[in-house]
Formats: sequence, C-alpha cells, structure tokens
Amino acid sequence: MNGVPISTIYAPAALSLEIALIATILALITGGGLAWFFSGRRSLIATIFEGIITLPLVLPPVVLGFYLLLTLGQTGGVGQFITRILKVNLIFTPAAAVIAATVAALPIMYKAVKAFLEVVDPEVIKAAQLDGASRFKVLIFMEIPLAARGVFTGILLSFLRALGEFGATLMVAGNIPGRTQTLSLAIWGSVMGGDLVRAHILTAVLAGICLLVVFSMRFFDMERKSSV
Amino acid sequence: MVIKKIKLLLLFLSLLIIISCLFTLAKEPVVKDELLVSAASSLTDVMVALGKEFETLNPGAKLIFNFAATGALQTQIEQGAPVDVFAGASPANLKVLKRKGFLADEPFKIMAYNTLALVVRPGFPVNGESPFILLKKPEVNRIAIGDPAYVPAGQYALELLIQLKLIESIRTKLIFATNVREALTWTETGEVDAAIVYGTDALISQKARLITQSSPEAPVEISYVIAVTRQGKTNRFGRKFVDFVTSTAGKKILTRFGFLP
Repeated sequence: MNGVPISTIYAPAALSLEIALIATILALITGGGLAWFFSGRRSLIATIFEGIITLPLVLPPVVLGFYLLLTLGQTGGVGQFITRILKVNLIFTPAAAVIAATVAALPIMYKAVKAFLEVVDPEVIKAAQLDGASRFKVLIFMEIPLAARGVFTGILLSFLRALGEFGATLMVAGNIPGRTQTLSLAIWGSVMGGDLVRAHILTAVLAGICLLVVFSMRFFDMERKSSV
Repeated sequence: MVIKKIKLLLLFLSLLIIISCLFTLAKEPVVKDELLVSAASSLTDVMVALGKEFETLNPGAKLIFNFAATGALQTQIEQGAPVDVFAGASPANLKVLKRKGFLADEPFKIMAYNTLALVVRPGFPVNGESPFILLKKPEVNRIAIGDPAYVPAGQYALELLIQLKLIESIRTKLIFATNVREALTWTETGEVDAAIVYGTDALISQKARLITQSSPEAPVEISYVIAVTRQGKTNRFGRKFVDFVTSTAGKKILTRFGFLP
C-alpha cells in the first residue's frame, strides 16, 4: 500500500499513449476515407453502411469487445486467417488493444469529418470539376482544406476515445500488467484491488493527458483565428 | 507533379510505419518459459504475491497475470486466448471449460475458501454484531449484491439469502452491481444501506462496517479453484505453479490476504 512504484504508473501511461496514437492514425485513414466516400450519398445502401459504422458508438464497449473476441479469436475467421498468415495469435497482444481502440474511435472520426465535409457547398465542387479539376484535385485542394477543422476535431476526439477505451480492450487484449494493461485498465484494476492511492495517481495522469489535448485544441483554434 | 509524388511517397511511408508498428505490437504476449495466469479480479493482490514467491523459488520462471471477471476469463479461453493456468472465483466456470475440453486432464483443485460478509454504510444505526436477519429491518432500504446473472459473489449472496429464507422479504430492496467491488463502494459512499460482499473485500474496506460473516462451509461454500489449461500442459511451470498455490507455503500467503485455506 505505502509507496507506488513509478514503473506501475509509467508502463500503462506509455502503453496507453502508444495505443491511442496508432489507433487515431488508423481511424483517421479508415474513418476519414469512409466519410469522404459517403459524404453527399443518400442511397439506402449508403445509409445502411453508415448505420454499421456507427454501431460501436451505441453498443456497450463490453459487447463490442465480445464480438471482436469472436472475430479475432481462434474460433473466428479473421483470427484464424491472421494466425495462418502471420503465425501470431492476436488475442492478449497490444495489437488487439489497438484494434479495439480503432473500432471504438472510428464512428467519432467518421461523424466529425463527414459533418465538416458536407458543409462544403456541392455547387462549388461542381464548378471546380467543370473547370477541369479531377476528383483527386478537388479532394486535395478543396475538400481537405475546408474540412481541416473537422479532421482536427475528429483526431482529438478519436484520440481521447481511444485513450479511454476500456471494455472492448479488456475482452480482446486482456488486463496483463506491463503488457496490455492500459491506463483505464490499470485504474480499474487498482480500484478492484483496493489500491486507491495508485488509482488516484493513474487518474491524475489520464486527466493530465486529456487537459493537454484540450488545451492544444484551444491553441490550434487561436492560431487559426489569428491567421485568417 | 513533383509535389504529388512526394505526397504519395509520404502517404506510403506513413502506412509502412503504421504496419510495422502493428507488427511489433502483435508479438506473442508470452514467450518461452513464461506462464500466463488468468485470475479472478478478487484474487489480484494475493496472486501477485504468490507469483513473486514462486519466481523466487523457481529461477527462470516468469509469471504474467491477466485479471478480469471469472466469466470474461472463461470466454477468453474459449476463444483461444493463450492462457496456461486459470484461477476462478467459482467452480461452475471451470466445470464448463472442463466439459468443453479446454482444461488439462486432471481434476481442478480448490485453492482457497472465502466467506460472505454483511457490511453496512458508515453511520448506519447498529451496535456491534448482528446476523444477516438485520436486512429485514425497515431501516435497511437498499441492499447491494453482485448481479447473480454473471457475478459469482452475487450468485453466492442470492444462495445465502435463499438458504436463510430471507429472500422473499427483501427481494424488492436488492440492487445488482456489475461486480462485487462496486457493491462495496456503494456501501462506502452510502448509496445503499448494506451489501453482501466477500469477507476479503470487507477486510480491506476502511469505511464500510463489517457486521457479520458467514462461516466458510455453510450455508454456502465459496471456493476458488485453479487448473492447468490444455495449452498449459506443455509449459514446465504450469503444473508446478498450481502445486505451489495449493501447498502449505501457498496457503500461508492466501491466509495473509484473508482467504481461508
């Protein structure tokens, strides 16, 4: 009880940051890509796909984790495929935690980016295309700069969601101290084990990271305003 | 055009970095001679202590723990998680795994017993000891137990209430917690008047007051069981760790954390 070893604070914090960072990048690529693809589409199939992408937002994380476990585990198709190709079992690895965090953050990234993309006036894009701009050029020189704010908001919110991921991570990555125990899992573990001192310290670290992110958001906003 | 190429190159490079990152992260959680033990979260502290002692006695052994609710641990093993030893809070979960062929071919062992404890919130008007019948009093409005659907402590508590013929009169007062520690926290903060938790939990709580404990055998026996999994058979420390936990030396450590041998 007396004295909390620094490594039991540092290890989960470093792992959490690493996982959240990679998950955010993955969510940006997949979520951003999907948002770009689906923006402006109103067909029935597009709506159904959108519903599927949004599912992780409404499913309880533990349920999400359960289905991820069924998919990535040795009885699931994806899990068997990965084991055959890469000769690794994903369950109980930090990579599984990355996947859990990515899936959890994906709908947030998707929604944030899409909301800003749809603000872009389609008439303006049509005009640009009439003037000979390719779909790719429209994306790079018009949509991305106009949606930069949405992308930025998406990145921050996804990062925070990935950082706080708990239920799905517990199911697929396990709660292994020093290996897959993230900050959220470590806090829960400390509360379960009655080590409230460590729980408070870990919570302070997590809160500190969150504050840092929120402040950097504010800083970015001010930069933008002054440059406009 | 050059800018476009550079952009594509950057995109390709970042993808490469991400993929390589994933590869390093996907390395097997357990390397040779490491023993992965999945244990019920109520065993967290005592398992760490047992592991340290075992590592000192067996040079070369390295124990890795995975702590979660017994039911979640069972599901993980069923889905092929690389677990070597399973220590659960209820024999029921191990029986299922045994039937499905996930455990080594030997009877699993009882490693410790626990008791059920009645705790009340700070400031609850009761003097000294009082049996479980206290729950019938009108001053007790809310009683927390673990959700019997999936929390072993809750199943034991419900069984106890049935055995003591208290269940009918207090059924409407019951509030289900997602785990036993939550029930204890509600008592500590006064959200509920009383809770039925494990004796080991009641011991470490500084705020909730312990009123009474059930005896280890009756009316409800609470046993923690430990077994080597099918995968753990090939690990040279699997069997040894189970033997150590159930040995006199292991029992001594378990007793130190409030468990009964």
